[in-house]
Amino acid sequence: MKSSEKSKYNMFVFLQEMIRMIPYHTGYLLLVAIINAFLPTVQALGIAEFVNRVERAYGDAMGEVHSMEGWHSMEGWHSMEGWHSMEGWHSIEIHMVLAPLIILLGIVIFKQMVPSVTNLVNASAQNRLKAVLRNRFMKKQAVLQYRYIEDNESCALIYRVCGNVEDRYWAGYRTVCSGIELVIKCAALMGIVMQASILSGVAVLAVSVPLFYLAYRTGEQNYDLQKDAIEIKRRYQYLSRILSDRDHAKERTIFGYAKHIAREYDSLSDYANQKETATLKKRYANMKSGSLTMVLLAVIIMLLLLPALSSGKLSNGLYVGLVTSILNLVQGMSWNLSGIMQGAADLNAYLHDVGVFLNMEEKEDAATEPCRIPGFRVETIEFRNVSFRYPGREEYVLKDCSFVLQGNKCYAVVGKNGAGKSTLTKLLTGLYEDYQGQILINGKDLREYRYGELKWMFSAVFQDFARYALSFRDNILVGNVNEENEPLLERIIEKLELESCVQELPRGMDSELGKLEKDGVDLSGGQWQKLAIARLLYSKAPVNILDEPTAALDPKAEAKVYEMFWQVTMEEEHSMEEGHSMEEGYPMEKFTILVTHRLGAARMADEILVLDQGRIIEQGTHNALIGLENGLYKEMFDNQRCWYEA
Amino acid sequence: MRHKNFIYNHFVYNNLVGIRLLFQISPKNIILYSVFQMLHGASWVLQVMSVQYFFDGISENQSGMPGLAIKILLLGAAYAFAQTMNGVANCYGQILNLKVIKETNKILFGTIDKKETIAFEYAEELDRIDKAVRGSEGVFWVSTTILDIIFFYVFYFVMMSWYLFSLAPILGISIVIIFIPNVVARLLHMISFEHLENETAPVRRKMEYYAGCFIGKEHYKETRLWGCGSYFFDRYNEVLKKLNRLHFCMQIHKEKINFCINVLTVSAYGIIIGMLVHSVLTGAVSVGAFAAVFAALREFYGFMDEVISERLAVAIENMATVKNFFEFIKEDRGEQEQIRLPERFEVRLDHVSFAYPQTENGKQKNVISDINLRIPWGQTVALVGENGSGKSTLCHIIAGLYPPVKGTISYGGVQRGAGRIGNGISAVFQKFCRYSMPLGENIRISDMDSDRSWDKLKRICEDVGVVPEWAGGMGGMLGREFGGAEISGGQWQRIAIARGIYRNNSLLILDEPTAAIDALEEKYLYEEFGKLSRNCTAIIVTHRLASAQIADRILVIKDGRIVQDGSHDELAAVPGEYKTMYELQRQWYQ
Repeated sequence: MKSSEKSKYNMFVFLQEMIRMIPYHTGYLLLVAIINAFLPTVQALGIAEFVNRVERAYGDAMGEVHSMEGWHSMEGWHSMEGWHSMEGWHSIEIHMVLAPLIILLGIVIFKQMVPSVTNLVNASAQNRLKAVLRNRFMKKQAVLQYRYIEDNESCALIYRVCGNVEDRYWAGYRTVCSGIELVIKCAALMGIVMQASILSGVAVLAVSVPLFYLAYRTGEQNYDLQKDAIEIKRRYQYLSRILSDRDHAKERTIFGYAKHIAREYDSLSDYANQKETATLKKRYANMKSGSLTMVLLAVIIMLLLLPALSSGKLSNGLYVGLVTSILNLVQGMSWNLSGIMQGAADLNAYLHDVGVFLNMEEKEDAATEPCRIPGFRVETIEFRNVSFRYPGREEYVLKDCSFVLQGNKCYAVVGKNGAGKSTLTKLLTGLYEDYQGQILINGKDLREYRYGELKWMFSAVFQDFARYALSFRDNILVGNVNEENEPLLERIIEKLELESCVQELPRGMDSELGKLEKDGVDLSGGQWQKLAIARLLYSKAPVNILDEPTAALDPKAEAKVYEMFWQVTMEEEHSMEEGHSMEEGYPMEKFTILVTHRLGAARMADEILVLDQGRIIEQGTHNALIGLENGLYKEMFDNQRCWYEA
Repeated sequence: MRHKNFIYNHFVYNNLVGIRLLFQISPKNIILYSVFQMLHGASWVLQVMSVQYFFDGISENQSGMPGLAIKILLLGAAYAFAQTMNGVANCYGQILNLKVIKETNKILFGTIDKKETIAFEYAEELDRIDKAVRGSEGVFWVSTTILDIIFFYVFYFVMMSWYLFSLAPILGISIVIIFIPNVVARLLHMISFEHLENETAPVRRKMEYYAGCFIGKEHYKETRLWGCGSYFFDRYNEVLKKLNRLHFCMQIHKEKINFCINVLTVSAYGIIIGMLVHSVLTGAVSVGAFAAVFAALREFYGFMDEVISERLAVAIENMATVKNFFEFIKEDRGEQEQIRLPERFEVRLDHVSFAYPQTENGKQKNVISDINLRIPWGQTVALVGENGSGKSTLCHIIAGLYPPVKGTISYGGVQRGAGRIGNGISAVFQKFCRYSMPLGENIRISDMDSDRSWDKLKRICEDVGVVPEWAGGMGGMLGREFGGAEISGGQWQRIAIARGIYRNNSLLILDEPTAAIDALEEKYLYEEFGKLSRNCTAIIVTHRLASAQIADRILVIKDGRIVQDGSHDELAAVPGEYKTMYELQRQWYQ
């Protein structure tokens, strides 16, 4: 399915999706953010009320001043300090200041207790996101065109997008909430200032905007600086790997280069540290100049409000409350601001990546199970002028490649390294579609078959075949997920002489392989190899592909594997001819394509194809090819043979 | 109390070890750092005092507007000072951290270099090295935790208490009394949570594995071809649900305790505020001081939370790896004596047996048993045998990488283990390295002691078929890591061979040197080896028996023993392991 809608994945879509996926969690977080945003204002008012009431009470106690709106009355309160009479205490009853006190305590309780609830909401939201997003992204990943998987850049992008999705999404949303909180917080405080004195308010606004902008810019710069520093680090971290890891241990010892590399590490990290130190200094200077700007702003606001205070437009209490809240805000502002800046930039970059990822092309039926075509037999496979190059590469791996394979024969494809042998198998199994020319199966273009059908037609053992950490049985059973066929399984195990291996396992066929489970056991290389071939046979696919399956084995073991394989397929052939086939219409096929660079193994095939520079240059039986003068096959074969001639 | 022991024995002790190490690295910087932290702590107290001073100024209202303005400026200065100190202390810490990491890494690399290569084969030992490497990065932060606690947090807390005490003695005393149970509760909480995190690790690993089977690069091709993706997807979802449940339960458990601690904190908070209000109402404390202290209280509790839940928690979490680092570098055996081997030497193995360190099921099997062998100088020896027969291991022993469990190995009379052999032996291993370095460096890395001779480099490259154009010249970068040229396995193999040869050697070990090279070129390379090995002793491991013919002598290894020893002609003439193997391969080419 070619993806039709090239929708952009932006902040708007992101928020929409978040609200759809986890409405309660997002709602809660927003609510908490808004409440938090108003807390400084409430606190300012609370303190204002408290201070004013205390002053009024003192005033009343002194009996001097009756109206307490103005600041001037404080004279009386002051003289009270030394006046430690019991009447003073009695006259200021606790109930007079109870209301503001409750507000202030309420703030404390809210601030202390809510994070606990928020943590739970976080955990629950992340769980939910994990379940929804990971599933969704994984499904997408599973149906991508194969070319993305072999492309490093796409892989890196996929990794960036899909690693810790839930964290990224949730952190993104939290950043948005923090932004909203900060804006409301400032606006609410501004509102009080405005109420007290419009003139001061306007002046404050005029000063704040540019200073705020300045702080914002430094936050942004910091984000860029951080990125640079990481690049420099990578170089010397690589050297430190050479000096300490296992892969380099042997060469490190035998070549004795540790001292030299350590010296290089020294100078390189000195250089990097110098740069990083400079960056750090700049970063901190930036951040702290932002903070100092905010302090300056606070000082200016306080100064600007002084006239209002002395004229009595602003009560003492409110002034004190406001200053407390503003100072509190200033303290965290620069951290907050650069945190939000960074969060927003991260989120933006991430959402961009998500957009690219979601727009990656998909392959139809990629994740479906193999789909059998009843009564279908693969008679011929034909390559007609096939040319192919890997995406993003200049040179062609296959160039005008043409050949015909007849069903029920065994073919070997040989050639030098890099001649394009494995590419053939990738095209046949439908991993790549964008080749030129045609691949015909029974005369019908491969691209016209459904992908599920291709999966059924071909089964393969690759050089790096999968060693799934499943049970022994399941490792074979995944070869054919459509049905469970116990007799066949047993027969294959018998044929491949795997019984003794099974007997040695602690729980027979149900023993877990690999290190995933505690009681998991590991098989030897040869046993795994047989298991992979068992899987191939179990799939009962019409065409078997063996793509250098024995590269990891020594020649003796290799010969044994091939012998066994030929034997099994041959016997099936026999039993089918004699009418002993397991099930009608389910013959085990002999049609095999073997890719190898070991000529000794190739000669067992019915026909050999020699691949060179992207095309088939020779095709025929071993004897025919060996008779070709100046043939590549003959040259390679002679080359290897001459060792064995005394 | 196990926990207290834990804190005392490990944490404090290792912290002190760490601080000593830091002092050794650069005493001046550490003292400066402590001073910065102290000033930083003081600056926070100054802030509170300046706020109180200003607020009191408002209430006194004697100096009028200009007086208040001056107090505002003072307050601004205190805040500016605090912000600056915050920046300076943190920034200086990070800069110092870079410096310390560099130094600790250098110590670490030195220690690793002196370790036996075999250490990298023990899973346990490898884990330790791995932890030490990671620990090296954490030395500074973990070791400065105590410095920070003393010079910043404790200093701040003491100053604040003293300040509160001076305002009203009852405040100063009660804050200390209320403070202590809070700290203890938090400490206990933090320590008791370590093990809970570990519970989810295996489940998470499983989940990641199934995801890898479904969409990982490694299995992608096959999972798609077999169409068994949904099988893994279902399993993945099953485990995911389990993990989510576990995770949430853990969180709830955590928050329950958090809740209790918070109740404690809030009540403490309430009591202090209550006292503060009482002091205000009785007139013991000015209303300005009330506002200032009220605002500062959150800072006070914030710092307490920070020092325990963040600083200490992180430090204790990383303590294990840092401790590993300290223990690891203690093993440094000091400078080893450099031994120079003579130009020509005989290799001699006497009753050499070798076994890999214990595997999980506890079985320790001899991979090499009782081998006696003398290889005179200049001989070319081929080692043949099945996979797992011990060929590679024998190579590693001869190369001096693995110490024999029993028996001795000597080179021209110099016994292995007497010191560090600095010359004479070179090798190409089966798992050779692919350095993300320029092409020339990739080869010359094998012999960095010698002069940089371009001629030699060029000659060797020509001999083994390394074409500088692969990388765009000798200085061209290779490998994906730093955006260099990406070359094929066969090309890498040839570079590895060139590297092995570049080193001045009189003993050259080639462990399946052509595994990634196709048949046609293999022959050419073997001919080249034949030429090269004329000036040295050479040991070649190979599967292709025919290629063993270039050797003067063939050793057939089976089950860790030498079962046949002789030239090709000799061995091919008598029935035995070699003849069977040889005939088996030969018939392929008949």
